[in-house]
Amino acid sequence: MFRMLTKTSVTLGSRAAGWVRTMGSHQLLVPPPETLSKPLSVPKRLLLGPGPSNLAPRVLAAGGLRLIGHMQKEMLQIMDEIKEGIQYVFQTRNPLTLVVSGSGHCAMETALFNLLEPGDSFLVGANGIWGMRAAEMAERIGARVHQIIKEPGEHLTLKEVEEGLARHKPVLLFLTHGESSTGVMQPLDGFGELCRRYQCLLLVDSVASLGGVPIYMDQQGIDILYSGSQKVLNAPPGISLISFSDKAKHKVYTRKTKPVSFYTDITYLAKLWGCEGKTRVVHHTTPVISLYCLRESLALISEQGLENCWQRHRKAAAYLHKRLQELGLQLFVKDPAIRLPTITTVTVPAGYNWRDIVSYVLNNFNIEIAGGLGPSEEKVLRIGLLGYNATTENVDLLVTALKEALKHCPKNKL
Amino acid sequence: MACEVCATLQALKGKGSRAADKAVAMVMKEIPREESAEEKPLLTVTPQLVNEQQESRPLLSPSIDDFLCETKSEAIAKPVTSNTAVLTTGLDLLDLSEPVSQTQTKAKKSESSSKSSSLKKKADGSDLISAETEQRAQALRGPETSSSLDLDIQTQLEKWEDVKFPGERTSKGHLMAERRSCSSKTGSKELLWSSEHRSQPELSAGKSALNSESLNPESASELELVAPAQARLTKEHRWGSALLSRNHSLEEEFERAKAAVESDTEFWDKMQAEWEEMARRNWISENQEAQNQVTVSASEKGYYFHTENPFKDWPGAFEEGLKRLKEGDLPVTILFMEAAILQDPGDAEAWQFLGITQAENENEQAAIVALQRCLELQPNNLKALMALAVSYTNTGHQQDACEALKNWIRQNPKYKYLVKNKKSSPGLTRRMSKSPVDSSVLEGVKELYLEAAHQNGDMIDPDLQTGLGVLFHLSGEFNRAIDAFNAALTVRPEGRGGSTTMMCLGINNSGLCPKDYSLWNRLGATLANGDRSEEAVEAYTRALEIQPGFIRSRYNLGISCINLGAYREAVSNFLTALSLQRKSRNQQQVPHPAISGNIWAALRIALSLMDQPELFQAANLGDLDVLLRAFNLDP
Repeated sequence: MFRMLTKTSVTLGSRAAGWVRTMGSHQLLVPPPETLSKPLSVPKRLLLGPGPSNLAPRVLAAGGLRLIGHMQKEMLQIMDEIKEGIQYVFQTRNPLTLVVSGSGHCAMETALFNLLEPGDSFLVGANGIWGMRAAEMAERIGARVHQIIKEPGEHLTLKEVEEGLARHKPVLLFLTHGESSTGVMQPLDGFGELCRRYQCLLLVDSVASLGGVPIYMDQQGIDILYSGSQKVLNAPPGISLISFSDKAKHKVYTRKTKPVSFYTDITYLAKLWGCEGKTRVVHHTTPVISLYCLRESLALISEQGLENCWQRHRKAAAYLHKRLQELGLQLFVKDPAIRLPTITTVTVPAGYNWRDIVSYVLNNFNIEIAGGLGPSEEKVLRIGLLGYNATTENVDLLVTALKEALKHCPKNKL
Repeated sequence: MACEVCATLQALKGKGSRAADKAVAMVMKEIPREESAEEKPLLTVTPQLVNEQQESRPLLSPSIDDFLCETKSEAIAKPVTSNTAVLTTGLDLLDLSEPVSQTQTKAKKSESSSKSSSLKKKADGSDLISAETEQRAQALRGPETSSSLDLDIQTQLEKWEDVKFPGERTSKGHLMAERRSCSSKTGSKELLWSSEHRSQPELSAGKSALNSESLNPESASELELVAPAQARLTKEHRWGSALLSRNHSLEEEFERAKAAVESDTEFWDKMQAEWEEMARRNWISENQEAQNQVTVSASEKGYYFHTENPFKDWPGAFEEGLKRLKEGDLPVTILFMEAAILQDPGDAEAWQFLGITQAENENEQAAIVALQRCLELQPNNLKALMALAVSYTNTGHQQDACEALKNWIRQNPKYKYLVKNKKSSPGLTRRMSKSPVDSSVLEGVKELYLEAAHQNGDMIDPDLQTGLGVLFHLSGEFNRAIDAFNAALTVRPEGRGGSTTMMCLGINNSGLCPKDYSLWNRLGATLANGDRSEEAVEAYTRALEIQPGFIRSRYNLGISCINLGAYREAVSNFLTALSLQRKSRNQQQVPHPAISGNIWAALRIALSLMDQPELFQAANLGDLDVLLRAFNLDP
């Protein structure tokens, strides 16, 4: 278009050229960046870190489909299908189930901003980075935050939580089902009843576990559950799944003050997602293409069956753990019962620097794995077997790569 | 070579090393006072220290349980002590999974160490916290404590209020409070103990020293003209600085008790920046009072002594240790050095040798603690500074390594003029960040060393070259590092000339120069890290010819064998190292060996690379005999 105008300006003479220039009132300060003139370059990689994971081919194909308007009836239909898919993977009948247009963090904020009011007592099970994040967000809201702090690699027991509930009388309890920073799977049975007894809502983060570990939102008495798209679901990062029980919804709808965040206000989101009757109210423009992808990944998991999916993850993880131990490596989570099948943490072997291993595996084998995060920083390597990636072939590939890394990366000591 | 070392040793035998120090001091005309000022007060203070040390013996010689869960408690207990905090970030010893045993350890320790009866009453279990609080509060308000301590408590209570109310603070603060509470128990106990046992004059004297000076330990070392009495104060002050942790502990205790947080919610996450921030704040502000207490246990807490040391009461343990070092029996050298320290915790030289030997025995964590301790006692100990820089380099604490190397120049009479005009940076003990080097710092220190080398002209100072080698190693310029180590080796290929150099440099030498073989090892490590493993093997072989018991070089040789794909040889070397460590333990009937976890880790990896599952199983079980047999090695 611009080129055409310039061309015209040559033929039409200086006056027209002047008009072209005066389309704006200023000269351009920033020239077109050189880097953008090169073709987009994305290396081929196997993503065996804690997420994001590789997109399943069917999901990837959905990402290339043409765009339609986000409030068109075809799109609303897709959104309804997604809601049903979420209800399936969450195992819930909650009508207030939808997709948040933002990463897992955004879902966490959606939960906290809507449920907590300044002065509310909030109990956080902090056995890794996600509890810390929830505490930080709640503090910004002005809630009274109480943390049950555990060593990295540990989980919370019913007894500890009960003590906390009795002492702090919180309105909300936060637990992380899959603590991706430490590789711990938090058992969830019993916490729902406990919370009901103490009249507290139960909020669970299942970003790193959903689809890889059994979770039953309704039967386990979870009031608010959220997860991400980029782990077991093998969908693009940037959107997240959330569901509110009626009890949680009641707490939100009886707030004294409006949530400070407009973007995550669940009353608007509910109307956008058609959770309250037929009328839809525009709130923001949803990420249409990402929703296509999510729809396909939910379809994949439905076709496969949740139980089969859990089983596959369990098998792949068991195989990975065995192979890692055969390499002379040690798993960071000592208790096998609470090891997260989706994300495995390996203690960085003595004499090695985790950075050397991670970059060796990446540079020589095109496999992404990660170092620790938050409390496990510098201490562990994190390996994810997520959804489509959870195969024994991938484990074999990674173990070969790690073996080479162990051979080449040890540091000699001065 | 051996004869020469032997001769030097002989000359220095029988605490003759002290005399040698003085002789050295006289040689070094330009810094006489520094030396003598250090020397005198040490003598006066020592008896007192010994007393205290005996009273606090449980801290110095922990129970077997302590030793058994050394790795665990180390990881968690360390963050309190300012100077040991970093160590934990380290590496091989981390295992955060068993807080139970740790709690037990603490309880046990407290029982045995509590002199005051009130502390003995302490109950186990979850009541522990509240019980402690009451008792502590009582004790602190007792007659022995000065009113300013009460003030302290007040501030801390206020502080707690800050922490308590949400919305007015960041989560960091909260977490920090939690984290600090981790190791508060032991710390506060010591505080209590020491407040009872320190004498009044010391208290006031120490206080004035503290009030009048900055708290930077380096400033103390630069007081070259102080009279003996004052020098002693500065010494105390240095101990005081080591006690920083204690002050945290007091505060932690109150936060912990008053908030009545879940008793077993210890949380350890090492965000060093926050720690540093906290350390700085407390250092400067409210807790000066408590720093006066003269105890030596702060650092010992970070160093785990062998529990049943057969040489505990050995007369002349230090000299015997040097002898064993010369013979290359590192594990036994360590026992003797520990014995020497148990007899005189202020023996900087023993700490120095202990630290260096621990590193040679492939136990970096212990080496760092011991060397830090040495430098608290004797900030101008050049050998300890260099060794500490090396240990920091090995553990990836690049910033701290730079700092130690800079201090080496600053404390070196030959080169200190180079830094005279430059602003001194904060003491190295409280800066423990593992963050990547601020390259400008590294470059700055490198410039200093290059300038020093330039000033030397054709005279090669092997120690300076070693420092340069470490610096180039830090910046990944392996070929330049190799050149530097090679230059050092031209002067000191097998230890010749070492003693004279040390005399010139003048600080605290006992005649045995360990550098010859350690230089070969450093050259080897640099070659290997620079992808020249074949040449590295040659260098390690030289080091092991000189010192067959050099565990670290044996370990490195194994690592290089892994690099070269020679797994069988790698395994043999690891097994030899482990066997050496065990042998010397068996001979001395020491129940718990100083066996390095990372040698086992490397062994497991080498075996896994060999694809020998049955042997791998033996390694997992720690069954050395099976493995030695399988590889036809003598047990």
